Amino acid sequence: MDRPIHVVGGGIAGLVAAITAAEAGAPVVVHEASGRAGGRALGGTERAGVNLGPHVVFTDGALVRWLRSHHIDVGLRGPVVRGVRVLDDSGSHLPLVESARLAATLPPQRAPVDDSFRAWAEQAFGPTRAALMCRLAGLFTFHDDPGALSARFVWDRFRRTFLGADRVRWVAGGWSTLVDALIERALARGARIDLDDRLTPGTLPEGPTIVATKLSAAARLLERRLDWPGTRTALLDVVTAPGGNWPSIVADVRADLATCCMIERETAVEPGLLGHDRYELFQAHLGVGPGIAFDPAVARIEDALDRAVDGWRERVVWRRGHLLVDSTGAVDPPGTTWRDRPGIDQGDDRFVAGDAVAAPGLLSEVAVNSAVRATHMALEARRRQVFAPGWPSVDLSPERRLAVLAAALPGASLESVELRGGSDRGREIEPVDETGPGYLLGVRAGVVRGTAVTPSPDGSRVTTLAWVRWPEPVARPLNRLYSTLRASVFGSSAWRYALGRRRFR
Amino acid sequence: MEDQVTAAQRGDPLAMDALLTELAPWVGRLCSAIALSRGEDAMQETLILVLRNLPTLREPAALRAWVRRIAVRQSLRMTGDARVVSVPDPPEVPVLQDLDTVMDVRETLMRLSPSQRAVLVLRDLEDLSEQEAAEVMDLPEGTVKSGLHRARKSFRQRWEEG
Ligand SMILES: Cc1cc2nc3c(=O)[nH]c(=O)nc-3n(C[C@H](O)[C@H](O)[C@H](O)COP(=O)(O)OP(=O)(O)OC[C@H]3O[C@@H](n4cnc5c(N)ncnc54)[C@H](O)[C@@H]3O)c2cc1C
Repeated sequence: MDRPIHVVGGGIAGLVAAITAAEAGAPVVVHEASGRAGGRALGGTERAGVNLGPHVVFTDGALVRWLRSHHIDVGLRGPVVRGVRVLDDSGSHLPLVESARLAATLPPQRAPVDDSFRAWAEQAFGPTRAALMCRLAGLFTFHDDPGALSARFVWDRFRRTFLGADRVRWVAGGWSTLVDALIERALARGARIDLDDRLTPGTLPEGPTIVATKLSAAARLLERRLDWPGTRTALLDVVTAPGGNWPSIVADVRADLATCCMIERETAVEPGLLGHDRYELFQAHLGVGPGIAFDPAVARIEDALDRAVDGWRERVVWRRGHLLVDSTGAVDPPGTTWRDRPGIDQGDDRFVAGDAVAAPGLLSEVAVNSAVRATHMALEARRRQVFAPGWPSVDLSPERRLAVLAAALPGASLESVELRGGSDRGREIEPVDETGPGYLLGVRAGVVRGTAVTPSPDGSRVTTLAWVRWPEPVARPLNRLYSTLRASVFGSSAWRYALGRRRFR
Repeated sequence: MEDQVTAAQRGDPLAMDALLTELAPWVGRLCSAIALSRGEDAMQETLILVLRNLPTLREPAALRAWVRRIAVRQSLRMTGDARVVSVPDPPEVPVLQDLDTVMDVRETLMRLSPSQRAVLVLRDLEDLSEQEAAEVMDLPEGTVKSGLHRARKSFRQRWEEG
């Protein structure tokens, strides 16, 4: 192969990188240490359909968007919200329902970076609800004490998980289906995947290389310090013979823990998952502190099962447990955001991708975002090497990108506002999608909205694109009308508020 | 990539956006090497034309060649130069790929006319043949040849001086 881009690691990040590079026309070699690509997205070989822990995706997140924009089809299933069982001390679900409702009515505010989630939530929701919300955050942080993490980190994810629950999906057939689709696409685009090919610092190839392993492995390969706080998480997977009227989800939020123990009955979402139509699969996870061993953690999970799932023990057909360390992505302590994590560009044309590096998103979305970004950097590095070095080049700034789209979309309108001194914090962008620095584009209900933030000498410049796609026969006149109308309301704060709200819904 | 092009042709804004991501670094290099300080404007004009006229592109596979043509022309238009300055035929052609990184490519590019830069870009960055380069620029092959010679000579002089 002529000056390929090398990808170390064939997990989600490595496969996304390989596809991105191959589709841009570069030769790609993926080096995967194990005998199968997929990494943590595979559940192990013991039992088909069983993921390593629960795996959901978000329809507004980077992974689903990326799959859609690449026309990679995987079946997605909505959650089963019937039969949610909450285990708490009072025996009442009221605080839970109440705090979700309260949170939903809040203005679309961002939580501060510097405070802990606990301190901020106590201010915003009162101590009782705050304590409950801290524990609930164990669902998506996998952490033993989510309240101690940055308020911004937890609240962004809390909102996406609990207030946007309509966007949660399960991958039909489990994540190995997703992995298979990625592998198939990578191979179809000409990428080479070398299995059983574990690289060491000595065998790290020359040329642009994307290291898409866990952070600890990347640190060893690149022989430098790369670390960031992660989690310790106990997992218990149980397959049982058919039982009674079992809950689909158990949320154990009892106050003896600073986090929650979550149990999902995967077969409630997908009855045929195990290939045996009536067997049930439960998957539980619990964030545990550094001092706690595996056995007491599993005992705590079993206790929750005992309370919520009658007669599960007698019906166990198969079970397995894991204690995973730093395997569920990065967590940001107070005072830090994803931007402070180990950077993607490590110099010398080495780039790191994965779920614990400097990229936005939730869990595997970080892996996808960083992989896309790392690949663009690697492609650029390859071009620099392949072509005569030193040639000038320019980037497409977020603002110009919107200008191009606005010019190409009939009837689109474009509006720029100067913000002085960064006073308007509500408009700061936390992209869920790696579409470029400070840049976000989304379509909802036929309305396309793009926002770009460009730093300017004393503040920043926010450019907003709005476009409505009407059905064909009426498109032309309506577009004209709409853009005239909008031009008159665009500058008003009402419109801006509407934009702000939508972004956070 | 081709699925993406087809989706963008149908007017799918996310696909159009993805296409921009895909094309921008490359178009940016073409435009800035030819239009220099007006490179950003040339890139913007190019990308607008590309997205607007995308539905007219019959073969998604021909995208790159088509975009290249637009980029070169927009860059030349931006610099107000549409013709190659003709110079005598080249006796020998040095290999450009070995240029030292230290050399200030930009400064040398500035000494050339925009069309000479365009020819150089097409031959040495884009690896086109003289005939293909002539086609992109809508010029006779001989003119391209001589323009290229001038460009390369200029590069070599800088190289040997510095
Ligand atoms: C219990 C659990 C639950 C989760 N739930 C969710 C969820 O609900 N939603 C979600 O989006 N995400 C979830 N995640 C996170 C998601 O699984 C990960 O973010 C994602 O799989 C990470 O992919 P990756 O490619 O970055 O890393 P990995 O999957 O770890 O891939 C790294 C690859 O590199 C290989 N490798 C390592 N060293 C070398 C070497 N020296 N040479 C060559 N190859 C090497 C490894 O074999 C591996 O295949 C969950 C994770 C866990 C553990």
